[in-house]
Amino acid sequence: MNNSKFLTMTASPHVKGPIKTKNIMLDVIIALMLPLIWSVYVFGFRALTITAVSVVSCVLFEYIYRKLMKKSNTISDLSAIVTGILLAFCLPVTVPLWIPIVGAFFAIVIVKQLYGGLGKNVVNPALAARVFLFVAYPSQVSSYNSIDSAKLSPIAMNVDVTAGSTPLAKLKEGQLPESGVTDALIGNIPGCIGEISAALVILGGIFLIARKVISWHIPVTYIATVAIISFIFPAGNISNLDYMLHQLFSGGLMLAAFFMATDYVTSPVTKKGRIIYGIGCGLITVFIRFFGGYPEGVSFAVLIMNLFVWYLDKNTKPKVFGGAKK
Amino acid sequence: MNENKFDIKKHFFSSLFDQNPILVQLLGTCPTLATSKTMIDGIGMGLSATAVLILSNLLISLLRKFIPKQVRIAAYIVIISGFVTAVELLIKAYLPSLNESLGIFIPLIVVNCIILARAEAFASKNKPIPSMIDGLFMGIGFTFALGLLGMIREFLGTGALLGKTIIKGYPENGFITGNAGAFLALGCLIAAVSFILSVAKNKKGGNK
Amino acid sequence: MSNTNSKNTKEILVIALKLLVICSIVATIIAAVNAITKDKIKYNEQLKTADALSEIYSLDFDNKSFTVDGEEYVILENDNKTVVARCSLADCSYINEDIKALYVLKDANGNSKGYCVSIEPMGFKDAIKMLVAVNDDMTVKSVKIVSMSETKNYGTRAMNDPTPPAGKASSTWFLEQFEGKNEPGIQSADIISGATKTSKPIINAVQTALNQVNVYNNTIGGNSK
Repeated sequence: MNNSKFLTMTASPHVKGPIKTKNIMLDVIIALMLPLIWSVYVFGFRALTITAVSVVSCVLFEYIYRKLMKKSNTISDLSAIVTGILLAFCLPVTVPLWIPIVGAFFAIVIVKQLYGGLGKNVVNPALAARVFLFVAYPSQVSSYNSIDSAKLSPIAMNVDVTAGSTPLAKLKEGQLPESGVTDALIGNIPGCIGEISAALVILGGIFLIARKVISWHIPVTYIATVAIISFIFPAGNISNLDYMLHQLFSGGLMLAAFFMATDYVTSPVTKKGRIIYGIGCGLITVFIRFFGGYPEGVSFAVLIMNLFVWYLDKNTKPKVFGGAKK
Repeated sequence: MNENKFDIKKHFFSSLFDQNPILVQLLGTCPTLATSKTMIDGIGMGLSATAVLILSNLLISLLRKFIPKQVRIAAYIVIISGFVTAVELLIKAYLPSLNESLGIFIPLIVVNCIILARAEAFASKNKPIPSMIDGLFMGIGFTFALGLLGMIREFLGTGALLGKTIIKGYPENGFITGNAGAFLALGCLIAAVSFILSVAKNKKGGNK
Repeated sequence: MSNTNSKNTKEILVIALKLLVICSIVATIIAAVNAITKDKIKYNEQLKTADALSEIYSLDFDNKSFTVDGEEYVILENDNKTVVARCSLADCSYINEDIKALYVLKDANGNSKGYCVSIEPMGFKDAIKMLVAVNDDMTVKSVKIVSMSETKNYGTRAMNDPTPPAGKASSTWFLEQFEGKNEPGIQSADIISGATKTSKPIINAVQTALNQVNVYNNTIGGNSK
């Protein structure tokens, strides 16, 4: 009767590699640590608190939902943690502490779990939640403190905001922002928690490409599209190069290009599909930034392109080799 | 006589639950999404549409042998729009605040699928009194769903019910009170109702 | 052949006649309801006008109205008993299609108490319903936004700016800056940062309202009764 072990039947694949969802997510979390540390340095520990609240809420909501619906527990795949971090990175440090909790509920329960859990969501949960929060609570989620303002209390529910505008808002009016290009690159500009330091986000992205977690197609085409169009069509009297560099390094472009648009579930599978997807994201980002009502367009751009992924995948299927002609 | 009574009760509950015009038949979703921002608006729209339903069902049933088959849809629309105009004038005169909040959706009751559907499916084939009752019950089902959706959206969106604040200092959620939230809320409500109905059906099947 | 032809024509005629009967029935119903509700609807419209104007002028609506020489007067009362006449299109063609109404305010003795223009310029998303009250000396008395559906936290700062820029005192600084100004002051008004597409139409609307009052004065005669 010991033979029963050798006669077990399972479906393929029978040989499995060591890479699990957990490992991929762990790589992403590591890549996101540098921007987080910089953010704490610039904004104070409130940046850490908001990220922590977001992560804990995401994990809790996923655990509770799966338990209530009598489904398997999936928090060990760490995807909820990644969603939590990315959601927090899209928020300014001045948000009340209940905002990331509501956002986490929307991202995990409505965008991800109601559609069937990891792998079945149509749009990127963190970005969808960011847009949800922006539409639901615009005054709480659009207040950015100026760079020199005092560090905010890490644990207060609500904090005071000293009004400041972001570099992208200034660019939209055709003026150069107060901070320079190097400031934007390093991260001495006002903005959301995860987006201020373009350099550190790019470093994280390169790390992920080196670890083969993401492929270069989407980030490169996305950033290149934005760069080319910004270079050709600057606003106001700003020089082409300055305008392009400010557009690239301010706002959430780098974070979106490396971490949001590359989400496995909501981006195309084929190389051709990814290139078209990257270009599409870039185009929509630029159109919203230049002609739309908002100074920042990356969240809407990626979400819109998410909706076309099924079409891109379907129409860029590689030709099957060796099949009979129909 | 007994059979008639039983029919009425069954008709009432089916209009409310398993044949609910919005939540099950998915008719009239356009005004539903637009007027369910608050409970009062939703119920106001529901009652206005119910008034039109009852009156148009009545007139169409009275004229059912007179209306020529070839132009019956045109005739129904004329009758329905006549009553919508009448109801609109009455609302403008006696309920001006409802007129302000429902705005253009009052005249849009003309193209509310529920009314045309009941005209074609019931009023054109039945006597006036049952047609009126059918209009009333379908209207109640419509109003019930609108009230429910309006209650959810008003409470989650503004922390108030029927215009009175329930949770002080509740931050208004622009998503839920906006159009996207309407779709989401309606979707969740339809899913919930569908789940409850299937559980009820299983229980009924099990008890046999 | 001719038999079926005449039969067809007869059929069509019968259908047409039946439809005529149905439409007549419906038309009768509508006419009856209209007759009952006409006056009340008119009263409600006047009440709305009075409500809008009373926000700018602190007047109360008295439930009376009357017509003199074809001009309809709605009486709003305060201590000095003001009478308001709505300028009809025939008297003063509106210079801009955004202008919905020009109200001329007089008191019981026929002395002019100013003007009020209801104007609805197109903002970023939708029309912005505004009232511009103008003094006798052609300066702006006040500007009020009756309703707008602009982008929250951008365009809505025109009505209520929770974080006014440096040098501005209150959250309603944007509309208050027009008070007491005439043309050059209006043209140099400050816009709301990040909400140009809402601010500029409002500024232009104030200017248009002023122009409209000027045109009215030049064609009708202003202070003369």
